Amino acid sequence: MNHQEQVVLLSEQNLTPDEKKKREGLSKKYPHVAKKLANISKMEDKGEISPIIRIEKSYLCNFKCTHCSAEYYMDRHLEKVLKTKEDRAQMTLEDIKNISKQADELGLARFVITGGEPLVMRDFDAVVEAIDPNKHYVISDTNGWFLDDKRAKHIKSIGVSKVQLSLDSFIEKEHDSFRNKPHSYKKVMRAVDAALNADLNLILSTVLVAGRAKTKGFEDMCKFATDRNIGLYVSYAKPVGSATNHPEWVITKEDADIVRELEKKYKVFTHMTPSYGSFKGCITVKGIITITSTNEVTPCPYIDFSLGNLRQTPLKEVLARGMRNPWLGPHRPDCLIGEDPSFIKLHQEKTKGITHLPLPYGQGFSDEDKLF
Amino acid sequence: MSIKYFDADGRCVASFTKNDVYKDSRKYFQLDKNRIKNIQLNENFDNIKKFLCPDLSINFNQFKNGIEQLKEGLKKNEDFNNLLNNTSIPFILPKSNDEDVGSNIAKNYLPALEKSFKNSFPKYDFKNHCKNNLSNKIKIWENSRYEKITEKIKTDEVVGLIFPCLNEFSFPAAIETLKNLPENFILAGGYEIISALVGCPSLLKKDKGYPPLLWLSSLHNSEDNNICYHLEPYGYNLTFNRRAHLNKAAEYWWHSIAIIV
Repeated sequence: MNHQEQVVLLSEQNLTPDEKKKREGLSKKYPHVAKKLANISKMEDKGEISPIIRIEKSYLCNFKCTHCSAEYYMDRHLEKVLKTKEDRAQMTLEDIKNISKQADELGLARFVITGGEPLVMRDFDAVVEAIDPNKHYVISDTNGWFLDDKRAKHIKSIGVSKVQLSLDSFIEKEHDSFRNKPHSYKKVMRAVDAALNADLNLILSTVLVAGRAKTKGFEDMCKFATDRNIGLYVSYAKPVGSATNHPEWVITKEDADIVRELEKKYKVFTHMTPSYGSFKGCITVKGIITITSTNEVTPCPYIDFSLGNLRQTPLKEVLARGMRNPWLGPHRPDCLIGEDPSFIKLHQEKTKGITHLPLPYGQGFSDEDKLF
Repeated sequence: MSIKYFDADGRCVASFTKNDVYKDSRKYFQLDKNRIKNIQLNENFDNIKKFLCPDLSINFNQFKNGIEQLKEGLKKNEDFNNLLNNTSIPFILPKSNDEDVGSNIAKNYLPALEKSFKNSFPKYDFKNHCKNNLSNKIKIWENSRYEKITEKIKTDEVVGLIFPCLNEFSFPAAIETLKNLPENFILAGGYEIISALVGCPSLLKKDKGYPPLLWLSSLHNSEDNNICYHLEPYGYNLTFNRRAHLNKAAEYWWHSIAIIV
C-alpha cells in the first residue's frame, strides 16, 4: 500500500480530523507501522485484537509515588519491605526482539516502554532498537525528570514517536507531594516544552482518585492541556500496588461519567474513550497488555495475574487465553480492576501475601475461570 | 409460577440453546428498574406521538388498553407470567411503506430518538456513530420472526411491549431460543427498541452501576452478518453504533423480545 492509498484508507475510517492528520504524518515516516494501525478497525470487525504492548524491562525509578502500581515489582520493595530477592529470569534485549517479531507477525503495532522510569534505563536506546521503530510505533512513559531539550531530541532521533508524561495535579505542591519528589512539577513543565520542541507527540497522564473529577484543579488541568493542544490521559486509581490499602481512591460511576462529559469540551480521555474509530470499552487484552521484567504477560498494567510467560508460551496463545477468559474477553464499558467490586475483591484475595508478582498463569487467571 | 421459560426475574432461561450464552447472570449490568417503573404510560405515549408518530391515529386510551390487555394475557399464562417480573417498555410504530429497514431507521427513527433524548436531557447528546448511510445496509435475521412487524406496519400502527429478557445471550442463542417460545414472541428489532427509547429516553440512564447495551436483535449488516447494530449509553449520553458480535455472549450485551398487541 503506497502513501496515497493509505490516505484514502484513512478517509474511509471513523477518524477525527486530528487523528487523520497524525496518521497521515506517520505513514510518510513509518509506512509499515501506519499500514498496521490503519488495519486495526478491520481486524476488530473480524474479532482480531491489536493490543498496545507495554514493556516493563526494568523497575528502576528515581521517584516513589504514593499511587505507584509497579511498586510491588521493584527490587527496593522486595528487598527492603519483603526481605526477599528477585530470583526469576529477567527480560533481555533478545526477549524484546523476539516479542517485537511475534507482535509484528500478529499485526500488532504499538509498544510503550514503561517501568519504573524508562529514562533512567542505561539500555533505553538499545530497547528502542530491539522493538524496532520501523516495525512498531514506539511510545515512552516518563515522569519527566530527565526529559530536557537534549534528551527529547535524542529519543525522537532514535525512533520514539510519543511520550506520556505523568502530571498528578496542576497545583505544584499537590503534584510534588503525590510524587514524593520536590521540584518534580517544574521538571514536568520543562519536559512538556522539551517534548513539543522535539516534535514528539505528547500526552500528559494523570491519576483520577474518587472525587477528583469534580474539582476545579482537575478542570484547570484539562484546560491547560487543551490550550496547549496536548491530550490528557486520565487513569483511574486502582487498588493495587502502593494504592492497595486505599479503597477510598476507587472512583464511582459518577466520577467516570463526569470525565466522559469533560471529553466533549477538552482534549481529555481515559483508556476506555473511543478513539480511531474503535469502541473497545475495557481494554484488557483487547487494547493493552503488559509484559513484566520476568516476561510474564498481564492483561492490563494493574492486574497482577499473568496470562503466560513468553519464554514458555507464544504471544499468540497468551492473547488467546486472555480473550477466552470470561473476565477479560467480553466487551464491557467499565474498568475491570478500577470499577468492578467482585473482581477487585478476587484480585486482592489472590495477591494477598504474594511476594513475587504477577501470579503465574493457573494461579490467578486460568482456563477454569468463572465470573461467580 | 413456572420457570420453564423465564426465571423469577423474568430472564429467559438458557436451556433452549447450545450456542454461546451465560447460563446464569450475576446481574452486574442492569437497567434502573425503579426509574423505569416510575415512568407513566402517558409520558411514553406523548413522547412517541410528538417525536416519532405525529400523525398517530390511535389515542392514549386505545394505547393504554392495548398494553393492559397484553400484560393481562401474559399474567394468565402460567408458563410466561414470569416475564412480567422483567422490565417492559411500551412502543408504538407508525405505519410505513418503506421496505428498507436501514433507510427507515436512518430517516425516521434515529432523528426521532435524537429529538426525544435532547428534549428530556438538553445538556446531553445523542450520537450516531454509524457515519455511513444505512440504506440497503440492514437485513433481517432469518428465524427472528421480524417480518411479522415489517408486514404489519404496512397497514397498521403497531403497539406492543419490549422485554429485555435475553440478557447475556449471543445472537445465535437468542435466535435458537426464540424457536421454543410462542409464535407471537418476536426478536426485537430496530423499530421497537428505538420507539421504546423515544417513549422512555431515560431507559439506559443509571447513576450507580452500568446499564447494558441493547442490540437491535433482529437485524444485521447486509454485507456481513457479524456486524450488528445497537444502542448504548456513554456516560450521560446515548449512542447508536455497530460492532462485531462474533456469535459471542457478553454480560453487557442484551437482546430483547417484542410482543405486539
